[in-house]
Amino acid sequence: MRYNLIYFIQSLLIVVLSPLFIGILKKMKATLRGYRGSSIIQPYYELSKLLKKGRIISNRSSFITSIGPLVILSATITTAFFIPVFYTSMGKSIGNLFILMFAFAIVKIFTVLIGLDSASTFGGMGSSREAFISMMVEPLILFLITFLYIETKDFNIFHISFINSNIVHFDTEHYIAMVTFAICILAENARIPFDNPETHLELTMMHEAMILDLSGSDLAYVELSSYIKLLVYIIILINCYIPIGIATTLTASALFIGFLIFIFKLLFCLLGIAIIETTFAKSRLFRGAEIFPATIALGIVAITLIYIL
Amino acid sequence: MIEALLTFILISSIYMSGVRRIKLLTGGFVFQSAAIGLIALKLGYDTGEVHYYILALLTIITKVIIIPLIINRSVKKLKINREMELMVNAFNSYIITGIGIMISFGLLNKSQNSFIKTGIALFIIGILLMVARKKAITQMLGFLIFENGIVLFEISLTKMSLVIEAGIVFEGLMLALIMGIMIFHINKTFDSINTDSFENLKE
Repeated sequence: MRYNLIYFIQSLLIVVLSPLFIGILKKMKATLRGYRGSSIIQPYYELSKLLKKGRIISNRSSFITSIGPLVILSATITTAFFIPVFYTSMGKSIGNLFILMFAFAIVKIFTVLIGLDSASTFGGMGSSREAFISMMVEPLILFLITFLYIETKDFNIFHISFINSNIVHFDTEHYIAMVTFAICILAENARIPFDNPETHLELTMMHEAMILDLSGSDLAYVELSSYIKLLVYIIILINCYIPIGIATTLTASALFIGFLIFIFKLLFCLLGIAIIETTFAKSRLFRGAEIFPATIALGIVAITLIYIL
Repeated sequence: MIEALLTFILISSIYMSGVRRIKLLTGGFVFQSAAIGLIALKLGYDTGEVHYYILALLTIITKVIIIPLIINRSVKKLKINREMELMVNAFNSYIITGIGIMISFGLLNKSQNSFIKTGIALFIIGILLMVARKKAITQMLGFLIFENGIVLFEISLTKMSLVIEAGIVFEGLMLALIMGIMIFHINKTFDSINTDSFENLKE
């Protein structure tokens, strides 16, 4: 029971604090570019302003637009409760990697459907691009799940991070898989070099194009779910590939150290994303898709190395 | 430490097999050579043998400083900064590289020495760049990657004399110098550095 309580609390923290970390990411980008930037709690203000507004739905759109944002938000919040944050154990828990992957697939399908539903030109364009990118990322995620299974003989993400936290000295294939997953994070969350998250220029946008017709509370739900999604992906990276220092016993000191190390690793990953977004340019759609064969090659190499050696 | 550096070499070689701009290709080559230099330095620190230190020093001086300077100077003078028409496109190059690394690690799975396997993977990538690209400057970079593979291959053998190590490093340097001059002459004669235009010579 106590285990479940702490799992619940740590996942709830992620849901509540995700706008704060996005604010920190925006602040980092602003600092790297040399201007002051907005305050780190600005995402909370934006969400509360959007939530105060009502919902306006085009009378041409079907029931998908009315239920879509809620489904997206609920699926994303569900994924936050399937992952370890700063405490893990070998106890019973729902953390199957396939459940996570398919919960994210629900999010993706409903975002694509919302884009198609209102029959605006931008929405259809954004949906087709999103589906194109997802088609390339899906096999990679399967590769990485296979890699983790061969490495730890387990599909449960809590157990994977428990087993991997004992390893101090990682092998070549582990680093390669880590880099592959980091590229997957950028592709799945519509980040540069695949998509620019802060533009509304119709030629380049992908994620923004699909939610262009949403407003008010619907937009707030989708925005919040995209924040949580980015954080959940980063936490999967941290806890599957570099889980050193995660709390494995239920004592106050271990939890405290685990929490501090987790915050440090999370900020480090956010800094990495900020550096990539300020130094790289967004690449053209088909040029950006050339990164996927490279990552597929990396995935093949990682699986070969761990399977043979 | 060495695992991380080998990872860096493998990732940079996959990255280099498909990138189009020569500046990025040179950057990848610089980082790869620096990683090889650091590996030699680490091995020297572990074993305490002097010839590893000399190899690291030679690699870093020639491949991180001198050869990139030569390449950047020729790119600036020739006003050619990217390779547009590839014989094997970027998609296939990446996949071929991945399969090449897979084969080299798969065939040599009996050997416990990961330097030999990484070295052979670098051979495959260097040959791919030499065969599947048209510009002479990219082919030269392919040969230099091949050269890096030889250095890694040679690091793994314990009884290798310093003369051979120095020979390998200076061969790469001389190649870069000679090709740097030759590319100008090719450009002057054929008005391009596409190696396809060599066929114009026949009667």
